[in-house]
Amino acid sequence: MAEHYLFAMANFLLCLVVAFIGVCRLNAMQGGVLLRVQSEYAAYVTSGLISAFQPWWGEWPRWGSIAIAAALLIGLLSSGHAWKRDTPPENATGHAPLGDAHD
Amino acid sequence: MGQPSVTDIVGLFVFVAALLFSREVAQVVGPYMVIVAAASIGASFSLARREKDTRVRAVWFFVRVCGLALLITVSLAAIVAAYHPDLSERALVAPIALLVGYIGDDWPRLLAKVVKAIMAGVDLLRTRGGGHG
Repeated sequence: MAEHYLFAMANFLLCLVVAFIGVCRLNAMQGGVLLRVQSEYAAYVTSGLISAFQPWWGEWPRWGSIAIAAALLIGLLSSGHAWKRDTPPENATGHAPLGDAHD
Repeated sequence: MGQPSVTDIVGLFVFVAALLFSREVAQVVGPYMVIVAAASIGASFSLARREKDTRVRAVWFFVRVCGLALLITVSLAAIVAAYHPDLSERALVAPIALLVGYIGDDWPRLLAKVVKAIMAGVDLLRTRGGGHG
């Protein structure tokens, strides 16, 4: 049983960090961020929370869950440079209205 | 001497996990995870809609909105199910939690719109009733 708890705790911590990064990126979004980018981070946050607490409905995480959570975390950390100073990257936002080009 | 060994940290992890994921806790909290999951999707979009804030405040907003969903979703589902008997309370829980999460902090604005609509309806009824003010 101790092994179960160790896997659960490692998965819990990884997933909470994934969800936390997702919340931080959603917080950094201002008007104009594409819906698909918002959906992507909403999915990170929700799936992170669901996976973190999966023992509560009888599903104990093993190597597979840990691997996916670690991969998500590495992906989010790797894209950190694009979100420097909590600003969404250009390719996450829609085109500015043409009128703004003259300002 | 005096330094905690790796085994102690592992033991602490196991201890905390055993408390957090115990069967007793799971039985109480487990059913509410549907509400948390649905509310977190809505709260994510609500958070993206908000003005940028500090990270701590963003996390607090998220926890607050999900907490509100935990508190009011079951009651709202019961009220809606009472008016629409063909819809079961169980089926309404997830969509209502999603909506509560999506509304986020916009409750005052939403309620103001509802009150405005009700007042407009009352005015319409008064004018149709032949009232001249």
